[in-house]
Amino acid sequence: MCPDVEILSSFYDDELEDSQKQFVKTHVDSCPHCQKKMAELGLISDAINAEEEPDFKMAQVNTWNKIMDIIDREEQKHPKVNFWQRRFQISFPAAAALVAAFIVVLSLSVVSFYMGKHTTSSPATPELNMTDASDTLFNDDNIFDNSAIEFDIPAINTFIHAGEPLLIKEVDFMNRNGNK
Amino acid sequence: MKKLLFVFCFFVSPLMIFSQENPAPANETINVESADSQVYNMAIDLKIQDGTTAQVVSDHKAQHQTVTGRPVVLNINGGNFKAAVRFTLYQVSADNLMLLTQSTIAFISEGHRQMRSIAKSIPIKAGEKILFFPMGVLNDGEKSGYNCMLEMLVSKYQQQQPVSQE
Repeated sequence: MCPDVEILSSFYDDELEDSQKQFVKTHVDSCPHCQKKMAELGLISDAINAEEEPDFKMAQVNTWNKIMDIIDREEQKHPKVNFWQRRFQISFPAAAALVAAFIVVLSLSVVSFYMGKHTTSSPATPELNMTDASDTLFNDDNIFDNSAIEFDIPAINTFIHAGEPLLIKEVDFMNRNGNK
Repeated sequence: MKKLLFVFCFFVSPLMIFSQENPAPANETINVESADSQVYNMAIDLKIQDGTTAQVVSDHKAQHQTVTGRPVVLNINGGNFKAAVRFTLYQVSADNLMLLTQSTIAFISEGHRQMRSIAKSIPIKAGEKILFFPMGVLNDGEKSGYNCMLEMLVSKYQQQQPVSQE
């Protein structure tokens, strides 16, 4: 039984293992049919080797030329238009909405402009850090302003906090103490 | 159309930007004559009193001229006690005033530092004597220590006539 063409082709290309190669060689030497096939394979191989390699570089250049031709043709069909000469198509409702929004923004800005002329902005209130407030009072001489009246009383360390501060007319205070 | 819109935006955009700014209000004129009648003289007498004997151990006096709405500020610096007090007069009617007292007191008691802020107001008339106790009033015999008292006398400011040199 003859080996198939694939095996003969592998044998021709010297791609078989040694054991298979020996077996096929023995068969081909004794089989005129396989010898004929081997001769055909030889002819095909010669024909392939005789052909010149295709010029890929040339093919690449030709392809690019074709692409550039297509681009040129498209540009000739749709010529470039300057930004200022370009025309936009906008639907009437969209244009109306755009104009309305613009008028609203414009009127708001005008109103706020004139409102600003008649209102005064309050200065930002400085934040008082309560944890440091006591330190400030003990270390700062003038907590409120520079024109404060200073009273340096004797350094008595036995001031008593008797309760809530009291603001009273002298007459009322005398009456209160007299009633006690 | 687009060119027109662009030109319009170009001229309107500065208006939109500057409309956010808040211009300073125009200077208001002050009626000097009416302001003159609202000038007051505030005589302040700070007394440190011994709580047990009711004896005044320290007495400090000061005078300050002010107008209604402008506070007179006192800073009191003691040993374990400091106070910042603002007295502000407000004109209620021709003869009636409102005295607003805002005080912030810091004191050290039993090793702990404490701070209290309070605002009090009282209707007064010019010539009335007002008392302010920033640390409260000591009750008789309850505590031994010192207390602080401010006496205030508010009167209409009268400009002194220049002395003629003859």
